[in-house]
Amino acid sequence: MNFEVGTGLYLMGLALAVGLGLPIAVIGAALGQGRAAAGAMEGMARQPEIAGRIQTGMILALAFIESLVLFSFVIFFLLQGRLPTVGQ
Amino acid sequence: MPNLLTHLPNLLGAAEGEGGGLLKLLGIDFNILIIQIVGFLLLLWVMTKFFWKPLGNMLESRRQDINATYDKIEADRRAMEQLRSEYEARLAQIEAEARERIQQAVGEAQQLRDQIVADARRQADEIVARAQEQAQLESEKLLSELQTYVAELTLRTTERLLREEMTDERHRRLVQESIQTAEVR
Amino acid sequence: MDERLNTLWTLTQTGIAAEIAPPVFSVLSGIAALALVVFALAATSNMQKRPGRLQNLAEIIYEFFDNLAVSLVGERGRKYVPLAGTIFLFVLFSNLMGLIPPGVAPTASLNTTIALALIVITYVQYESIRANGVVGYFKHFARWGEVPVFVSPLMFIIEVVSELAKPVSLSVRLYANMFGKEQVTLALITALAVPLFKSAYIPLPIQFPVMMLGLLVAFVQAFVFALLTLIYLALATEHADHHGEHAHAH
Repeated sequence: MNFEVGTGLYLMGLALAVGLGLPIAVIGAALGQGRAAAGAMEGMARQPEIAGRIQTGMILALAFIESLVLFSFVIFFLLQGRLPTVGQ
Repeated sequence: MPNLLTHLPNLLGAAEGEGGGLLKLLGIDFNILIIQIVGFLLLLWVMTKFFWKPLGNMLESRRQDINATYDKIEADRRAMEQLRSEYEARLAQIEAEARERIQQAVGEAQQLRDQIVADARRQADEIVARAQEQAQLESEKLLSELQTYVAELTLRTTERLLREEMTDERHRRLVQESIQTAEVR
Repeated sequence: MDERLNTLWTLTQTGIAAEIAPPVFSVLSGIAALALVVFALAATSNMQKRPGRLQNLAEIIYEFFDNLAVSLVGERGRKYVPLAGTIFLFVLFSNLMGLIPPGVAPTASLNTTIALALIVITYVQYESIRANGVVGYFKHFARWGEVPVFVSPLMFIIEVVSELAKPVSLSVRLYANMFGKEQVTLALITALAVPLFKSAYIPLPIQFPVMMLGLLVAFVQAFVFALLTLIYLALATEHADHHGEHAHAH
């Protein structure tokens, strides 16, 4: 009985993590990327002559932010693999 | 919670375990990993040898070519400039020479003109002098002729007047007299 | 449904790339490498002072990485051009392979990306040691001379952890990007295209937007991988310059 409850809780937590982990990460990263892109655009508008360098930096920053989402994406797949199907 | 904790070693460990471990879960296979590493190193070697190095050399040689061309153009330009300045100097020299020569010619002409004028004047003077002399001579000659003529005229007039009594002695005297008179006149 | 698809794409359907046998990915990356070598040889086989189209493209790529390396690392960054450029081209070719219908990007497997990241990070350590010396290498980790002495041990731990995180983030970034793209494409195909058209190839309109995004991601991720390689190299060797100037000053 106790075991059943524990397993149920575990599965519930797992399902919540699978369902909500990635969206939460995406929300955060989207905000962060938006700020980064906005700052870069502003910088480019102010100083078009160094737009190329700003763009390189922006791509780098976006890549770093994005990689955090992708970590959670990988975790998402790892957890998804642990989610039992209906049959099990 | 205990479930997750008991799973942790399995998750991080290799092949064994119910889930096959994190590495297996992610599909990481060490043999394949090593094959990939070796493969990429091989690719890197091939690309460096057959792609990046030749390209780099080509770009470098083109850069040098461009530099050499520009240097040559610069050198040509400088040489041309020098040539032009030389020509200009020579041209100026020639012009100066020509001017000098013209000046000289003009000077010579002037001298010549002066000489000609002087000659002409001298000749004119000579001619005038000769003419005067001639006139002198002429007038002297005329005078002497006149004397003779006057003497003769006087003689004839006197002869006609004294036709009858004219002796030789008288004749001579009369001639003498008229000559003297003419001379006196 | 699975029987009808019967392509490599089906194999990624279950979510984890382990379903495709890792050797398949090595074969795929071998194909990508081969395509790259063919491109390289075609571009450089008949090089002339007045470049043809292919040679021109190759020269543009070279100059791009040459400029990038010089602007990030400085004049001594020229020797990193082959590594960064090869990584870029290989990753790009691999990524693009996933956009040609029966193919899957070799970079959608962690084996491929970890191999690349390990090579990069090992080379970075080698260059760092070569530039700073063994002592300088560890001093660099401890930020010796840049922070107060008592902070150095802490900095050492932080730097080591961040150094260890570099290959992980490098490989996972590329892998997850490509894998995610494959997954989304596959999800669209299995959820919409196959039921509607009974084929994985005909319904291009359904996958097309994702494919376009995939094209963009293919270029950006290849560029980011090469860019980070150069930046890591620049960070690892930058101190050599300061020491060099210091030594010259005395």
